[in-house]
Amino acid sequence: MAQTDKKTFNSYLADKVWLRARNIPKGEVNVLDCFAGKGTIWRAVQLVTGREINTLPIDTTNSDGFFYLPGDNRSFLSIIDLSRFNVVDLDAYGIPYDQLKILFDRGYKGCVFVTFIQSLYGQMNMGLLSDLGFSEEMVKNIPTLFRKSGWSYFCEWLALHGVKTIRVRGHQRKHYLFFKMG
Amino acid sequence: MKTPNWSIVQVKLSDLILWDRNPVKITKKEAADIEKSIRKFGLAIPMVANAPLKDGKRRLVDGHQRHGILIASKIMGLNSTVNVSVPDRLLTEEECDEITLRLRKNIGSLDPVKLNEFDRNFLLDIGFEEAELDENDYKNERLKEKEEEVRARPMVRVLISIPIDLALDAKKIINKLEEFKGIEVLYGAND
Repeated sequence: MAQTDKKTFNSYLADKVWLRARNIPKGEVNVLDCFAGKGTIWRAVQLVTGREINTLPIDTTNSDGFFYLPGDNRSFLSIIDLSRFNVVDLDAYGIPYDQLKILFDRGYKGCVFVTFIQSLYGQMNMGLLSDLGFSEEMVKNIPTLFRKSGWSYFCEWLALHGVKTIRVRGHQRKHYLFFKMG
Repeated sequence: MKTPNWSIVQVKLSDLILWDRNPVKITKKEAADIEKSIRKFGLAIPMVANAPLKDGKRRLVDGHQRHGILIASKIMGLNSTVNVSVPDRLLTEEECDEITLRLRKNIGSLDPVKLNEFDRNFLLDIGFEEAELDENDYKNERLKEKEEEVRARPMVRVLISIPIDLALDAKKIINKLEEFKGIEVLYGAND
């Protein structure tokens, strides 16, 4: 299984930071940061909220020398005790379908922050479309349909898994969202 | 003591005495950025030095890094002259210490919102660091946050392919279908 999604460039950092700052749970905050990068977002959240936030960073590489779990976040998400974390952060470039699927399948209960970016020519994840009832043949026949409506399909897919409301900040094909699972 | 008046004079680099307690440090990158700026724009801001001592030399107050870079990068030699802002009276050692630190510290700060209006690559080229720009950027919210309900719409998905020559007829059928509640028609052309 290849690591399909990588960390985003923080071009809307302020929006990501405040989305998190305004929606993190009260009390202790333990974050599983699956696309941690340099940890910039949660450092800034800590700064603007003045709260102590415990993060466990995961990423494929890390140049800054702080402790992190190196490797494919899907492997960690599959085995780690998720009940230790009341926040999971999926700040990916792309659509973190595999990671969300693992969280839903494992019955995770907590807050989730997601970055959803569908590039203009980006294909929607086939697993996601398949969950919504589209066959591979349909997608192959007319891929442009799924490029246009990626965001609405993604929302529909979240709803299929029990998500009722999301808090979202959107810009063109980028969406930064928060929702609760479980 | 009287507030000094300042004027610009030409001083040889060799006549400027560096302050040995100068607390300013410089990284290789910072030195390279200063050199780049000097090569492109010259010394736009004069260095600052005290009035001359008996031997004609002057204690440098501001411009230590530029002084070092001019020599090290061979942009100028020790006998070259530069514009230096000098006072009309000899400043005491304490005054020199204070003004050296004040010139470094008593400056405004950059407005992160206005700074973010510049192209990021341009700022990086000037010498800003990625992390520094990121740190600034968290103050700069741009998007509205809203709450949205998401709904699952269990559906049967049907794919109907129509030859292009039948598109006009298909349009009529699509228009009819769209009149039915619960039917969602998505259409497009093959790539």
